[in-house]
Amino acid sequence: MSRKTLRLGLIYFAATLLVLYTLLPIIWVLLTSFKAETEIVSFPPHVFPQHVTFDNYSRMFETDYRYYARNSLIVGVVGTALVMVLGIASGYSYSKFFTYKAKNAMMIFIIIARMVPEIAVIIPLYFLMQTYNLYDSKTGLILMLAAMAFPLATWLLKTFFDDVPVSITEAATIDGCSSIGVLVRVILPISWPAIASTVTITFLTIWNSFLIPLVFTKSVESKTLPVAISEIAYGEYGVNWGGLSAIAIITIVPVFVIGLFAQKYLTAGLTAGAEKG
Amino acid sequence: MLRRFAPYVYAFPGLLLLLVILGYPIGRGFYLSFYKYNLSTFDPPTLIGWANYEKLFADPLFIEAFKHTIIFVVTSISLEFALGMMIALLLQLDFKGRNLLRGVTLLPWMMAPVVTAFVWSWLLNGTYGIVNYALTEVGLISKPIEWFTSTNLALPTLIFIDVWQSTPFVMLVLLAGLQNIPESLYEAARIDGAGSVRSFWHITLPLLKPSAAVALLMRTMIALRFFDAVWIITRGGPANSTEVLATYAYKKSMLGFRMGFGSAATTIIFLLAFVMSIGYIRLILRREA
Repeated sequence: MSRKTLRLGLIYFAATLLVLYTLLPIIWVLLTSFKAETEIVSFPPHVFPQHVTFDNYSRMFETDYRYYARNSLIVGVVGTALVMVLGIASGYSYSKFFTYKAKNAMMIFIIIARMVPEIAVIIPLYFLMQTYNLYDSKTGLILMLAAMAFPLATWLLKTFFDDVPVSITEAATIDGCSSIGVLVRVILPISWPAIASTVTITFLTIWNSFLIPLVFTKSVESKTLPVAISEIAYGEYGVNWGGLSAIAIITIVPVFVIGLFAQKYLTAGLTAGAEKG
Repeated sequence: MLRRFAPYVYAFPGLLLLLVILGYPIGRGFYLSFYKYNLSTFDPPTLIGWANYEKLFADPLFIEAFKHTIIFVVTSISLEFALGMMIALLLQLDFKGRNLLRGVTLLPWMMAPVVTAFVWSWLLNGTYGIVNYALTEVGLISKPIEWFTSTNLALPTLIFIDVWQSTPFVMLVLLAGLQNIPESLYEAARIDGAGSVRSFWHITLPLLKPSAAVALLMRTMIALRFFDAVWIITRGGPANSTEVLATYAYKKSMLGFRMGFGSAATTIIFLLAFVMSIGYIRLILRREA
């Protein structure tokens, strides 16, 4: 065997290990979600379901879980939209196209805001939400999760806007474009990869968030999927593993679909976020 | 005239949201931390000065939670860097299917921590878990391992779950750093007779430092808030062996209704994050300059 074949063999061996390590846990939960409860706790365990059943999924849609899924979707979509509108405006303001006195101070404030742990603000937020009747509401949840996701989105968009060549925007300014015109007509049309990565990262952050929904949601009005999972997943016994597996898979699917279509942008966004801060 | 105010107008709505949802609560939390304010009684808040902080640092459970948080941060991040580096080196090589593999590797990082916690609590379940079954079948163990119910093992198991979930992030940042190292440097080293081990130590590692620094700060900041998996799987147990700062503060305030005392705990957590962000700001400013 030549050295080259040996090298390739080692690479694919490592790659196989990596795939198994990553995918087997997820596949096992996927298989569990298609098994009946008796089969799930049978001993020895069956790897593949003897009788494939969709009961775990259909039962979920007959109960409150359909509302939790709906809430997760609404909060994720509206929250992301809000973050994008605010983030594009702010990212533009902090980019190289403007110089003004308070710029550095404002940017440092954004960075500090990005580091604030949710747990550090939940007690005062609890009083605030009670006062304005936003406790257990989608509106309150959207505002809080948007605020948490906003600093990173702003920072990503700022670094992307910084890469837009000044020559393009100067031409537009000479043609009489206002600063908002430059943003809408010149910068945004060529920034859609940046927007795609920021949308992806923001949606993932909001969709996956847990502590804030845990504290601030109570009923079918606003409870999200992660909170619903947490309520029935704790403990070694008496847990409905089949039902939970189905909910887990449903929570994962949108994320993986996004990952499939937006992987390039996700990687670009993450890398920019890490390299440029 | 209008032009001068334009950038402020653009930045204003976002700043307002941050001030209301993050800025004001941090100030209010600091203020509350000097009060005795128990929601389960109907007593109005009373000013007690530093007493909450004194009580906090006298509470053995808080010290435990602090220790567990440090152990968690240090161990999980070291493992994530070691494993992330190995995977990044693999995924940087040129072979068929590499891009697909990069996508697959990212999946755990994209999952909700709550879902990841459920997945592993099912796989490692003491009675029905497939992992214990498989280990028994191949003869490695004779009785099931109590992954989550043993006081010695629960925290390491939670660390493992975090490593499974978060390594892709570290890997991705390191991989981006690796791709930025010019090939010509390696070639020059090869001509000078350096082997691959030596070029790794003398070229790869030093040039990776900036990306690694950012990844390290981001991971530390996230790991300090570690809450989700603990809450899903152990809720701090067994016998407080997995109590961390976030679960401690959550229990005292949201479950124990001690808003003043809880605020003292969350203020400490904020200060830890704040120290991290100062390091981060210095790093960024150096790069912007």
